[in-house]
Amino acid sequence: MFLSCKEAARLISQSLDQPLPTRWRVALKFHLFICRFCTRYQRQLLFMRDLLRRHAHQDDEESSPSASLPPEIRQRLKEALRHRK
Amino acid sequence: MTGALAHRAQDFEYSSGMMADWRDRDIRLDVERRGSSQASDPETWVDQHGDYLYRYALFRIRDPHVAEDLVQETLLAALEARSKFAGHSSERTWLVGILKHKIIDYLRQRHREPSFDTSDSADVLTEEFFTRMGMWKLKPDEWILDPEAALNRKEFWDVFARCLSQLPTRQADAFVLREIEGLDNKEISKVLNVSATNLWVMLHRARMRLRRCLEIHWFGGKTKEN
Repeated sequence: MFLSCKEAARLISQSLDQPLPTRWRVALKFHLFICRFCTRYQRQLLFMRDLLRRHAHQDDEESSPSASLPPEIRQRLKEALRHRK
Repeated sequence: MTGALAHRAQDFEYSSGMMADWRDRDIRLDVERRGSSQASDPETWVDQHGDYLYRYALFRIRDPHVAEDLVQETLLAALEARSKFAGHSSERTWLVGILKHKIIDYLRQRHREPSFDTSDSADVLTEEFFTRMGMWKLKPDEWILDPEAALNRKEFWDVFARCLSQLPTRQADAFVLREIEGLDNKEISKVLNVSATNLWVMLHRARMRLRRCLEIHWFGGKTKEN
């Protein structure tokens, strides 16, 4: 069975969420064998996933978007914690 | 007499440094006890974990005010449950665990109404990325797949956050729950109030668009080969 790139891309995404039925898995494998763009697409999605997983297990500031609690919120939080203690 | 003896004994202890050792040990034990089985003074949570929790929520929710509220709810819930903190994990891990629940509760609320949005149909995506014959219109570029080059760069995560916030809300939330929180599709469809099929389509679009956005703003154009 021949897949278009559009169909292959959809199956690549689906395969990241659950195993594909054999028929589709074989069709996708064949398509990836002959199509370097879909192969790239798959590799890049897996790469994104890998990055995000590693990111979740790191908790230093270097690996986060820059942001911090505004001073007035910090103050409010401290007061709330003090009062309810 | 006894008083004088006691005095002398005290002098002896001080001079030999024994007393000081004991006091050090008591403080040390106290710190260990707190570290392993008791949460620290709640007032210190804001300075110790506030920014971390805030960034954690902001990255997943993309709305500063909601993120602030979630941090507040988390800290107050932690205060209530302080006695239950068993010390099996670090204080931060414990707080993040509470925040995760708050995030999911919030998302459940955000998507209580089912979606009838059809503007984001599969056809739109098709026109954007594929020709009518189903070929790539915008061919994926070659990326340098070096995780280290992105992982520890604040700039990369800023770009990522911006790309994520350009997606429709439900789509972005689906992606976050799947790829960042690692929930399975069944759990996600419940939280986002969508069918399994709908969720597949949403995840497919989110991945397609995010990949493209990251390519434009970070990974792309590194090689000529295409």
